Amino acid sequence: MTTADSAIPSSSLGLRAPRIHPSNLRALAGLSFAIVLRLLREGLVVRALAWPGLLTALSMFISASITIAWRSNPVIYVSEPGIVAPLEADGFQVFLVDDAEKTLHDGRSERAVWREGERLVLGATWGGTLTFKAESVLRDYTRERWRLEVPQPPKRSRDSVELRPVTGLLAGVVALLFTLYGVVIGAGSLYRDRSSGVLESDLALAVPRWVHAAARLAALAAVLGPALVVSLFIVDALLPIHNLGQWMFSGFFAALLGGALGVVLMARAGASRGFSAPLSQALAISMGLMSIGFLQPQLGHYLPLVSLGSSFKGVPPSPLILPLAFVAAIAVSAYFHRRECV
Amino acid sequence: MLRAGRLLAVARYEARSHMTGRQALRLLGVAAALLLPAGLIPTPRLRPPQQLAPVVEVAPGSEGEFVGPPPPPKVRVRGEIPPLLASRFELSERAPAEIHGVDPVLLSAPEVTNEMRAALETLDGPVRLEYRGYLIPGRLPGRSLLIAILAISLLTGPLADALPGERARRTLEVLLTAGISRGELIGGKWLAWTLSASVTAGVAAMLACWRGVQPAGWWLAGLPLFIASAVAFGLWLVRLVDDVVGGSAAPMRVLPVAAGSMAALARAIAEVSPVAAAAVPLGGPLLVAADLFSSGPQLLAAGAGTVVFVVAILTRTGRDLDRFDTVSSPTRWGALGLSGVAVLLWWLTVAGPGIWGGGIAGASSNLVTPLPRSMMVGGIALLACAVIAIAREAQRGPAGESVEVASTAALFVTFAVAALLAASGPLPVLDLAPARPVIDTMADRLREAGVPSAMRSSAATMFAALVSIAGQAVLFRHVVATRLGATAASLLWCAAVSPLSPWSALPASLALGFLAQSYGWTSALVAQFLWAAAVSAGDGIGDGVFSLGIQMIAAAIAWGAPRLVRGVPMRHQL
Repeated sequence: MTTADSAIPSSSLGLRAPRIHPSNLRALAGLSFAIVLRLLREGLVVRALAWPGLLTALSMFISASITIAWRSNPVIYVSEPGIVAPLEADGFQVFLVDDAEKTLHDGRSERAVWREGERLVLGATWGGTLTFKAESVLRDYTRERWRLEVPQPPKRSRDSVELRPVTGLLAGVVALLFTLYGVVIGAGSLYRDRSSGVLESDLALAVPRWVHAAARLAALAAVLGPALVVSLFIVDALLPIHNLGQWMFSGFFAALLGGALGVVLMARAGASRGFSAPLSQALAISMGLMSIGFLQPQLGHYLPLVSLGSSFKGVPPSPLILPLAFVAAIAVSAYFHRRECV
Repeated sequence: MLRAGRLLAVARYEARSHMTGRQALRLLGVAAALLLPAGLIPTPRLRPPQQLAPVVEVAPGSEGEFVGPPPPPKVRVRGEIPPLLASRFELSERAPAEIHGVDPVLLSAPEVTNEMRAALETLDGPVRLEYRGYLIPGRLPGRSLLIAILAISLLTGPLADALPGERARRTLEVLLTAGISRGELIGGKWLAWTLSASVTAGVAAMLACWRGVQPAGWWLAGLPLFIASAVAFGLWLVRLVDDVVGGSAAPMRVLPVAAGSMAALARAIAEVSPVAAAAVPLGGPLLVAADLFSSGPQLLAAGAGTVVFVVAILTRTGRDLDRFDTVSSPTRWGALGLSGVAVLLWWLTVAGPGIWGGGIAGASSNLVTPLPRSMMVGGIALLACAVIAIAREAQRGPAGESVEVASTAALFVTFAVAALLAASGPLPVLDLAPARPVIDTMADRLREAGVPSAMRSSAATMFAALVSIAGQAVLFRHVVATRLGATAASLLWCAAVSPLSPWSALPASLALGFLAQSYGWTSALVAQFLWAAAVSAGDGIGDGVFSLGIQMIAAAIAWGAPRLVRGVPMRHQL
């Protein structure tokens, strides 16, 4: 009788408590390492892991650059020659055109000045500091009844707590993408190994069958965890995220459970069915669970994967998701054992 | 060559392989769960208006009780309120605005609200300046945008199975040997998924029209155009992939970004030519589907653009069916791509926070990540890229090159190079022209992270500097150098730490590169760490071009000393 045979269940449920033997743990480590290497050698998987952090950080940087460059651009279009000099004296870049109002309509400028009868009109699509500065100059120029003075804005102690809604959304998007990749990698790696015959050769090894499922989950954790942590660190370096550790915690377990969901649904689909239906199902279920967490955050923050949706609502994940994720991993291993090996 | 019968046969085969039995029910269930709510649930602002308030009828004799609308609430200000404005303003010490004077009245405020403006306009006298607010031009996309995106997201699995699944199951070879052309094979697969996704999206769109969520319009024609383009592009993306994991990850990653970028491009072109913008592949049809482009010529342009795009890209995909993927394998190009990503991540983490330094009116100044933290994250990002490269392909270096480690000569040369670099001081600033302050700040952060000159200020800074230097050494002096060569690695390091003036770091980078080539990346790590430690202690004597000269001597020693010690290799002797 081999070691594998000794671990085959004999109860009516087809399950019994697995043996935790040091050699099984060595096999678990070896198989996990092999799966990690196979995943990392897949160029497309590597690109998928690098993508969320890179994309989020890059788009944030580009948006910030454009916004700062655009909003701090002191351009004004005017059709009244007399106001060119005072505006230029106050630091504005003035363009004299025939129809200044048209530049507002076609989106070319944020502020423009023209004359209508006895009065000057200052039109603006954005009432920022520069527009108020222009108004101040024009009120002095026209000797209006009331004048405007725009003081230097005080240094505001804006921090990551104040920007929590924005930074939380960014961190949540990264964690959400990793969850979806977890689903894809979990489902896809099992499908690939099954169709290429690697799964059969794995199952022929003299190790208990639960080790194979556990190795898949451990490999997913080893690949997705560091990638998620590094991605969140990158986004955090660009714009400090409030409660970064909380996002890492809920995001990691969401990605891991997403991967487990992919493995379970692919195992459930069996060898005869294709790839698309289980994958679409796993993606829809994981999104659905996160939506439940978003709608019921007080309930959702106790459950892994669901807690990511709760985090979007500002409810931190409960430490309970750690043991619950462990229970889910055991359930996945047991289910995998039943589906693939009995 | 395209024969309709065979094209339809392939489409039927493709649909049958995914859309039969319980699998079909599952796919339809997922589609219904996602698309039906998108079509049926109305946007809150489009709900029917509430019943109007009842009209109050004034009883005869009680007209005196109705004296017009109540007065507006008073605006809170600091300062002295002029008597003429006493009915519109009230004093409050916490108010951000301050008011003074009588003729003229002076308002000092960081922002003028509509209430302030309305109150001040009650002053007597002619109006000489009028302020008018304009809405930013542009339309908002309709619900159909969500329907189009959801319909495409459902295709992740089918696209991964269409070509990568066939390759993985070794059935693509069987199909290629059948009596069908490449065009019929790829066209049939495209037709199957375009039709199924269009029908699904069409059902959701009809429901949206029926429920009044979005009125019917040309966008109904835009949906199949966008889906047709996206399916063709998705098939092209996975044409060389032989694995379903990669096959599902690629469209999920690239398709939304490509569609979004092309839509942005189409919006930009629309400023010049709205019709030409609609012809932009992917972007034009997406904007038609989103009900942002809605004229007849735009629809025709989107249709023509889609036909050209789909035919071109499917032809290309069909031609590539016999090829193997050589692009994503861990070869030189793979290493170059990984290095490019690593450098980009380094820039974003180290220099990126500098963007807030000159932020909006200085309001965000304390959001700038401290440099030590940025250095540490940048170093971790470089290490992560290096680990991935090593895991994918452990490579010992170019054949014929031996690396000598831990010898007396190695130690001597390492310390000599480190001493010379230390004498050269920190990386010199030799930019051609001064840039904007924000860009200068970012460049300074990169130089400082390359050779940390403040590493001795605290234990945390020392640790961050160590991680940063370790990341640079492992990635550039080991991973990149063993795959692309020491010179390319040195150039990449220059671009990473001094992108505005790479020449100011080139000799030092070559010195470290030659050192790593001869004595291993650890010697480069030690030399760079000693250089930074010396700079941190203020030991450097070099500055500007003089510093560059000392770096050149270090490079010459790093290149020449190992050759003098070991002699000229046999293959280089005449």
